[in-house]
This record gives sequence, C-alpha cells and structure tokens, in this order.
Amino acid sequence: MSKRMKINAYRIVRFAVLALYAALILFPLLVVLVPTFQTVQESSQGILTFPKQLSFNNYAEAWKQSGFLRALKNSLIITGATIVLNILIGSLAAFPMAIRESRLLYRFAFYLFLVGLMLPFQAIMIPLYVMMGRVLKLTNTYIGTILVYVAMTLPITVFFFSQFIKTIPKEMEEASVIDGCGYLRMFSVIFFPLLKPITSAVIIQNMIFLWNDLLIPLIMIDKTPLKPIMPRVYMFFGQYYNKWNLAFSVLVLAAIPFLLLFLLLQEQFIKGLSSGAVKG
Amino acid sequence: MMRRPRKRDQVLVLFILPAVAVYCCFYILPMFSGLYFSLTDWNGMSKVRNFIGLANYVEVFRDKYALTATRNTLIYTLVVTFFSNAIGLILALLLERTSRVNNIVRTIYFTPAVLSPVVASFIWKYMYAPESGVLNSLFRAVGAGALANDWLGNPALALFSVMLVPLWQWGGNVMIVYLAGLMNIPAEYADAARIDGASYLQKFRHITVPLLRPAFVFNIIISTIGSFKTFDFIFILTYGGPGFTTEVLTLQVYKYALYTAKLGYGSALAVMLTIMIVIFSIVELKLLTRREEKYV
Repeated sequence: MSKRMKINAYRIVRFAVLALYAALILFPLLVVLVPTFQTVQESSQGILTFPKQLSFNNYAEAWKQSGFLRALKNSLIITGATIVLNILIGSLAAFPMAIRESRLLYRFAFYLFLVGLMLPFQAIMIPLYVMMGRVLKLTNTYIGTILVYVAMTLPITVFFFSQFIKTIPKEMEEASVIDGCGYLRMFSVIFFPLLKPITSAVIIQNMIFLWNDLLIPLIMIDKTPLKPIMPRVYMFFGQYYNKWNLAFSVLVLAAIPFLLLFLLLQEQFIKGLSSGAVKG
Repeated sequence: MMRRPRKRDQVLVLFILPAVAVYCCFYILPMFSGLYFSLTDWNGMSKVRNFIGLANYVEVFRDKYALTATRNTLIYTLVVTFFSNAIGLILALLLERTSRVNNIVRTIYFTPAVLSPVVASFIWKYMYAPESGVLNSLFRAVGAGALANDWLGNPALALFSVMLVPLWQWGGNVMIVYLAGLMNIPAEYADAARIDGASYLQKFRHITVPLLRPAFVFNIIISTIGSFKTFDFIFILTYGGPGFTTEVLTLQVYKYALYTAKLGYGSALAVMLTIMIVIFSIVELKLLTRREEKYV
C-alpha cells in the first residue's frame, strides 16, 4: 500500500521533472520562430504581438539580403573538403600507429597528436593569424581555412582510428602478407572497409564542429563573399540588429539543414558523440 | 615466426607523413612560435621584436583585467562543469530504461547540442533582451514586471545569464554519455543487488557510481576543457561586458590578437590559459582514477 504510493509519487515527480525540462529546451527553440513571421514593427514590440498572417516573406527577403546561397556554398566546400582530407590522411596515419604500436617513431607521432586534444585554439591563434596573414598569405582563401581545419581535426581522427584499428585481429595482417599484399593494398582493400562504423562517428563529430564554428573564419576570412554560414549569420545579426524579423529568419535558415540531418541520422549522431566515452 | 625484413616496413613511414606534415605546419609550429612571441615585446606590426624573457608573464600577474578574466574563466568552468554533469546525470537516471517515449524525450534534450553556439547565443540574446525580449515580455504580461531585468546588462547578473546558455545547450549531450555508460553496466549487478535487498540509494552508491566512472571521467574532463576554451557564447552575448564582468581569457587573447597591438603579451596570456587547462585536466584525471583503484 505505502510502497505503491511511493512508486506513484516517484512517477509523478519523474514526469514533472522530465516535462519541465523538455519545456525549458523546446520553448527557446520554438519562440525564435515567432519573429520570423512578424513585420518589422511587430518584431520590435516583442513576441506578444502575434503575426497577423503566416507569410514566408521574411525568409525570402533574408535569403536574398544575406547572400545565403553563397554562404551555404562556402560552408559546404570548406566542411566537405576538410572532412575528405581529414579522413584520408588521418586514417592513413593511424594505420602504422596501430599495427606497429611498439615502434618508437609511431608512438611519438601518436603522442604528438594527443597534445592537440588538450591545447586550446587560443594558444595557436595569434601565431596562426600572423603566419597565415603575412607569411603565407593564405587568409581569405578556401585552402588556408581548410588546412587549418584539417590540422585542428586530425588529433580526434587519428586517436579514434588508431584505437579502432587496434581491435582488428592481427591475423588479418598476416593473412594478407601471405597473399602478397603490399601495405597500401592491405590498408585500402582490407582495413579501410572495416573502419566504416568509426568513420561515420568521426565524420559526424567533425562535421558538427566544422559546420557550427565561428572562431576560425573570424580570424581567417574577412571578405564577406567568402564567409561560411555561421560567421555570415553573426555578421548579418550585427547589420540587422533592429530588424529581428530578418535576422532570425537567417538564423532559422542556417540551423535547419543540420537539424534535419540530425533528425534523419539520430542514432549515428548519438553514437558518434558518445563513442570513445565509455570504453576508457 | 615469419619475421619480415625491416625494409618492407619502411614504406609505413610514408603513411604518417601527410598527416604529420599538415599537423606540424598548422598546429605544432604555431604553438612553438606562440611560445616564442610570449617572450618578446612584439606589437605585431614592427620588424623589431625584443626578447624580454618572462616580463610578459610577470605582467600578467599584475594586470587587473587578466586577473578578472582568469577569475571569470574559473567561475564559468566550475559552475558549468558541475551543473551540466548534475543535470546530465539526473536526466540519464530518469531516462535509463529504453522505451519509445524515453527515446523521443532523449532526442528533444539532445537537440540543442547539434546547433551552433552561434545559433544558441542569438536565441538567448532574444530571450534576455531588455525591452522586447521574451523573458521580460512574459514577466510583464503576467503582472510580474518586477522580475524583469536587464539580464545581460546588469553586472550582478550577466555572468549567470551567460552560464545558463551552455547548460541549456550541452546538458543533453552530457546525458547521452551517461546513458551510454549506464547501458554498459551488466544487468546481473542490478539483479544481484535486488536479490540482496539493496535500496535504490545503496544500489546507486555501490553499483551505479563505481561502474559509471569512465563516463564521469570523460564528461568532467571534456566539460572542463570545453569551458576553459569557451568563446562564442560570451563573444556574442556580452563581448565581455558590462565592464569586464563576463570577460574570459579566450576573449581577451582574441582582442589582443586582432585589436590591441600587444601580440607578445596576448601570447603570454594564451600560454597561461594552456597551462591552466593542462593542470586542471591532469589533476582531475588523477583524482578521478585514483578512487577507481579502491573499488577494484
């Protein structure tokens, strides 16, 4: 009897906590949709002035005025190229580090990459700004931004790939040697296809960082047409601070592609973000 | 066994070459030149830079603004790390069982984590705005106008208002890691505890907590490092203001790099930040893993 009451009380508290937290999460996400349907006057009066009609004019106008397509293209190029390069050279580098763990050279290289996991970007920000801007003249170029991003994402990639390759049985290597495989073939034909699960986790982790990042473009790119999406949103907000209806339309447009991708690939996202966390 | 000649192995060096080259050029090299800049009085423009030893570092300890930024960084790190873990752990425990409803709730909680901090910051700037902001409008509408405040402009409140944003964004992410940890605990332990008649708290204390340790270690260290490195939220929400009440070290380094001609000094500040991160991570790792041995 009293035990049942206890269980019921637990259920009620649990439900209340979960519902309240869901409301806290969802309310800010949904409330930003309000200004995107308001007129300029309405949006300056706050959320309580409800839009008279549901029109997508703000989105159309924001799309045009922010040069959204251009920013989207920049983001796709930078994110895409970084991920391809990063996976290619990252997995290649992880291969000897995993199968020849005992060699001093590879162990040293592995620790070198580990350092990068801990270093804050600010520690290299000033020299990078000087080097890219004055010495290499690579600011305001795709290639400069991509190279910085590849270097920044390599530690995680190398770490995850080498940990994963270590779990692949040694016999794989021995069998392929007997079959007369060189190392390059061994890696590309035999090992790489086995890396699929960890590859998608690494891609998702890096993609979340790359697509959403503000700081690196802030330092590397000051020409508006070259700015990827988040720095563009940031800039647009500065210019349109008194026109929230447009500013928030751009914000919603920028968030949507990735949000959709997340809803489609939920499981992979969640696996990608928690992998490596619980093996330790 | 079949010991292959060393020569054959040499080709493997080529495998690590591209990655090591890119990484060293754009990460390790800048790191060392930053270390070098920090020992000079370079203003970023002139051709002359004088080696001044540790003078910049001595200056850091006398610099009122650097100390304020350090204090804010530490408060931010401790508060965000503690509360995001508390929230994440409670939510994970409440949603431990797999069911369709629980899965939907988990997805809702996790959603902010895939957004850009840029998006999250602007959402909250809208929530906090003094005149037509969401919070103040709602307070006034329900007759609680007295609660309306300048959330980001009031020096006493600004840092707290800012810290709510990462908690809102990352709480669900921390939860996911704890959930993964909970899944890894074999069901037999819980069964055994039930047969022994253990209470929920006993089970939590003696089974869940020790076996969840890898998740604790990961979450605590990752949110410590992440909080020390925080930039976007403060850059967008307050830019360090009002006054210096929300200034953090990363923002200060950024300002020195781009707007103040004190690159040597800024580099010293960045090195100090790095040292703090390394020390905090190592101490946490030591503390969290030493206790592990007790249970094994």
